[in-house]
This record gives sequence, structure tokens and C-alpha cells, in this order.
Amino acid sequence: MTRFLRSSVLLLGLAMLTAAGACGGTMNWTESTVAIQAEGIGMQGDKVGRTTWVATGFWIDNYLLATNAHVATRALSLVGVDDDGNKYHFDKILALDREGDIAILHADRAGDKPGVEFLERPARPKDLRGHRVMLVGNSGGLGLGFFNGEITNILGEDGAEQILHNSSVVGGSSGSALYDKDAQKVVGIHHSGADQFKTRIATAGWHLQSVVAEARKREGVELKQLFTLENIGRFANIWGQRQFCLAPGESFKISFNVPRATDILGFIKPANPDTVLATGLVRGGSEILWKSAFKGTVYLPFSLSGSGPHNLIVAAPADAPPKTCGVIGAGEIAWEKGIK
Amino acid sequence: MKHVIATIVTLGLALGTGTSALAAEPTDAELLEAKTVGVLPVLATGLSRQDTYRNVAAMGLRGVEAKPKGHGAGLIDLGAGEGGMAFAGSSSTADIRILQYAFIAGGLASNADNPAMYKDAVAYLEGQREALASLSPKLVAACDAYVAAAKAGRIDVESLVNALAAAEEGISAGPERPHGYFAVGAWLGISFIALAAGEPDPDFYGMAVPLATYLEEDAIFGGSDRALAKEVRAIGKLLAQKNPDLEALKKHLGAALDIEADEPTPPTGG
Repeated sequence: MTRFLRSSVLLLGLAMLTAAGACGGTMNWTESTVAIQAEGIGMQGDKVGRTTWVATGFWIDNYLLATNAHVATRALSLVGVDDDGNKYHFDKILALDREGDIAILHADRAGDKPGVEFLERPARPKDLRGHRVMLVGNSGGLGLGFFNGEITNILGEDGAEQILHNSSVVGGSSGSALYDKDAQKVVGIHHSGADQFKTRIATAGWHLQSVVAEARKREGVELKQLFTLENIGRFANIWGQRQFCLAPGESFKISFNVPRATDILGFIKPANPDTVLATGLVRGGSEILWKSAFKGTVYLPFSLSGSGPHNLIVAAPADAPPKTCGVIGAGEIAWEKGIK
Repeated sequence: MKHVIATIVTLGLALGTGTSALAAEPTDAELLEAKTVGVLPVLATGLSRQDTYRNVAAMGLRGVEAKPKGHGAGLIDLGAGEGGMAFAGSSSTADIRILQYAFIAGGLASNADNPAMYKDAVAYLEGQREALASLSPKLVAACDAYVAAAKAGRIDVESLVNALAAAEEGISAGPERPHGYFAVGAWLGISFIALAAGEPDPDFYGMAVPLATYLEEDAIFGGSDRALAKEVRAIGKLLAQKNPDLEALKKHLGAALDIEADEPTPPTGG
């Protein structure tokens, strides 16, 4: 009798465990996520060449994948691998939202994993402060990992909120889904950190959904047709340009601040094409990111990896003619203009 | 024009950037220690620069909404009472008058809940319209529309957006100095309500460094402009913090508005 009771209790326990699993206790946190390997263009003034990077993306549905705009920008090849080793190519881009740092990609074949579920926008988004979150992201190119934290604040308004969180992340996590752990739904897409606030930042999932809705109306464009050298000029939004006249030892600069990773285009057109001048891109007043001597008209595209104040400088060296004039200008490359 | 730029860039990338750069790299000192004689400040970046200006201009309204939560003092107190900033509202030089006008316009929303102060501020803007004589027609038109709406009791964000954009265009197209002063004044005015909005906004505080660099290094500016630049830089740094201090901001704003131009400014041709 006692043995019978023990067996019954054990069986009941097993049955309850099985039932609990079937009711949502077995959330597969990684199934909608892929680790991304990208190959594309890197631009640093006169040095424009191939480069690679790693990142993360997550399925919206069987064909659409969300990642960051700064992940997709300048990519000529994006390959995603899920936890089961399935490989997908994302050769078409449907949307590029630089404000929210969101890109929507189209896969070359249907995925067999479900798209994520999104948390709806609360009436008071700041009520999400304190919610436990988990970011599922590429661990520096080594595959998917879990990064836990909590929401510390919500900034912005009008549906385009930015979610501050304190998950500890590593390189490659750009484009990760940020899950509300208790709701088991995506609350945002992680994109960056802000050192001055010691925080990580994600764009709200409800904003991402609005970008997806727009993306569904588009036919999109092949990566290789969008990120071309010809399109740098075609899609450049020129901020402004000014004439300069420099004596030896003098300089002129364009001072600008970028709030996020941005592709820019500078240009310098000296009146005398034979005069040798110096130019450079400087971050934060003293960190020279790139420099070169040049003569004649130059167009200088840069992929800026970080935010903050920058200066594009043209300087007349000590042995320059007594007066050198020309025009200097700059702008940013709005790649999204090329998405149909 | 865009087609021309595209063609030139293609040509430049194919033939220019790779071959025009010479072997001898400049030294760091040749770039960093060269005497800067001109600066083009870029105040708004982003996909839509208009959107960036709109975000900055709209901070005024957000600030007003946030006032009950704190930082509720009115900014523009032409009578120097009720805890607002005392503001003389007059200057001997055209550029400083532009700075003051733009400051009042940029910060107008902070007085929206005080009818008497608001009315004084709007009357000031109406009375000082001739101070805008050296500004571009586009900027003047934006100011006129802004003041007309203000008289009707409305903060017209779109007109403020247009004014900010026109001020930046004017720095490029000239005369650059008065347009530069307008941009600085409007930015200072908005800073007060930006703080009240309670959230650091990179679109807003990101404008501080280009503006300060412009005032510090462009040859058309002098010693007092350097002092103004110092305050702009300090305010930008302050507003990039999590919980900026209102009294510190007031101190910097007071110092910024205390400056006098070095000498009456002759018109420039840009």
C-alpha cells in the first residue's frame, strides 16, 4: 500500500511537471534569434575597403529579421546562424530607421522558427522601470548568450521611447532582442550604450513594430545595390559648406556632433589644384581619427563608429603659398533614401 | 545639384581620394596646433535635420508640461522679480540685441503659465523687431510668425524650428555673425526649459560643442565671444547630466547674458 501511494505521488508529480512545461514554462529564449556575421564596406577617408563585423538579429516572422541600422549599413553580405546551426542569408533590406537604429532584413528562404512576440506599449511606459529583462545576443561572434539586467529608465515620448537598461553585454550584441523576463515578450531592440550615464540603450519594441509595418509595404533593395560607392554621393545630405582662405599655419574646421554611429561625407575643393594641404578628422578636440596630405578636390567618406563632437579640418602647412582658398563642406549619408 | 554631387563623388572616389592623398602624412601638430581662422558649426544632424530642430524646439512645450514637477521658475522676467532671471533687455550693439531677442524667443514657453510675464516677453519681442535687420528674410519671417502666434497665446514650435534652421543656413550664407548670435541666443533660451523637461536630450546638448567651437575659434569672434563660448560649453555639459542643477544653469545663463560685444560689429559679407 505504501509502495503504491509513493508510486502514485511520483507519477502525479511527473504529470504535473509535464503539464507545467506545456503551459509556457519551457520558453525557448534563443529560438527566434540568429547570430549575424557581416561583410561589407568600411570607410575612413581615402581608405575604403572590405571589413567584417558580428551582430545579432531576431525573427519578426518567417522571412523578416530585425537588427540594428548600424549593423546593416554598408553590409554587402549578412549571414545569420541560429542555435540549431541553420544558416540564412539576408541579402535584401526593407527598412532602415536610423533614429531608432533599426533595420528590417528579408531572408533568402523561410525560417522554421517563430517570430518574437512584442510587449504592447503601456499607457505609462515609465512603469516598466524595474522590470527584469534578458538580452539574447551574439557573444562576440561565439554564438548566442544570455545577458540579464533590469530596465532603469524610459526616455523620450510619442511611441519612439528609448529604454535604458543595465544588462551587461559584449561586442556582437547589437540588434539583440531585449525580453521582459516575466512577460516573456520583446520590449525593445538593443543598440548601444551611453558611458556618461553608465547605461545600455534599446529602442522600444512598439516603435520597432511601426517600422516593420512600413517595411511590409516596401519591396526593398538588395544590399549590394544600396551600399555602393556611387550611392555615397547620391544619398549625401550636405549639412553646409563654407569658403576658406588660409595662410601657412592656419586651419578651417567643420564642427559637428553625431548622436550615434553615422556615415558622413566631407569634401574639400581647393581653388588651386596644385597646392598641398593637410586634412584630418578629429574626435573630441584632440583624438585624430584620420589624417592625410592632399592636393586637388577630395571627397572623404567616413564610417563614424561612435557618437560625440567631431571636427573635419583643413590646414595649410608651413610651406604653403601665402594664401590658399577653397571650399570645405560635409554632410551625412542617408542610405535609407535608396530603399524602395 | 544632387546629380552633380553624385557624379563628382563617384569620380572622386574612383580617381581622387585614393590618388590625391600624398605619401607624406601631416604631423598631428599641423592639424591640432594650426591657428583656426574659420568654423562652420553644424547644429543639427540626422536623417531629417528638420526633425532634429523640431525635437529641440518641442522641448519647450515638454518643459512647460514638466514644470509642475519642479524647476518651475519663469525664465524671462523683464521686471527682475518673482524669482525669474533678471534680464535687462537692452544692449548697445546689434549682435547682443539679436542674442537677447533669440534668448527671449527660445525661452518664451517658460513663462506660458504666467500671463503678466508672458505678455511682457511677447511685447519685448514685438518691440525689438528692428534688431533683426541683419538677419535673412527667412529667419525674420519665422520670427514674425512665432511672435504672431505668441500674441495669440500659442507657442509655435514650427516657426521656432524654421528659425533655428534659418539661423544655421545664415551662418553658411552670411552674414554669419548675427546668425551665429541668433543661434546661440535661441539655444540658451531653450536650455532653461530643456532642463525642466527633465531628460537629457543628445539633439539639444549635442549642439553645444559646435556652437562653442564656433564662438571660440572663428576669427570673426573676439574676447567676449570666448567668454560666451565658455558658458555655452558649460551649459551643454550640465544638460548632458542625469539631474542637472537649475541654479547652476541660471548662473551660467546669467554670465552668458552679461557679455557685451567687443565693439560694434561691422556688417560682414559672409
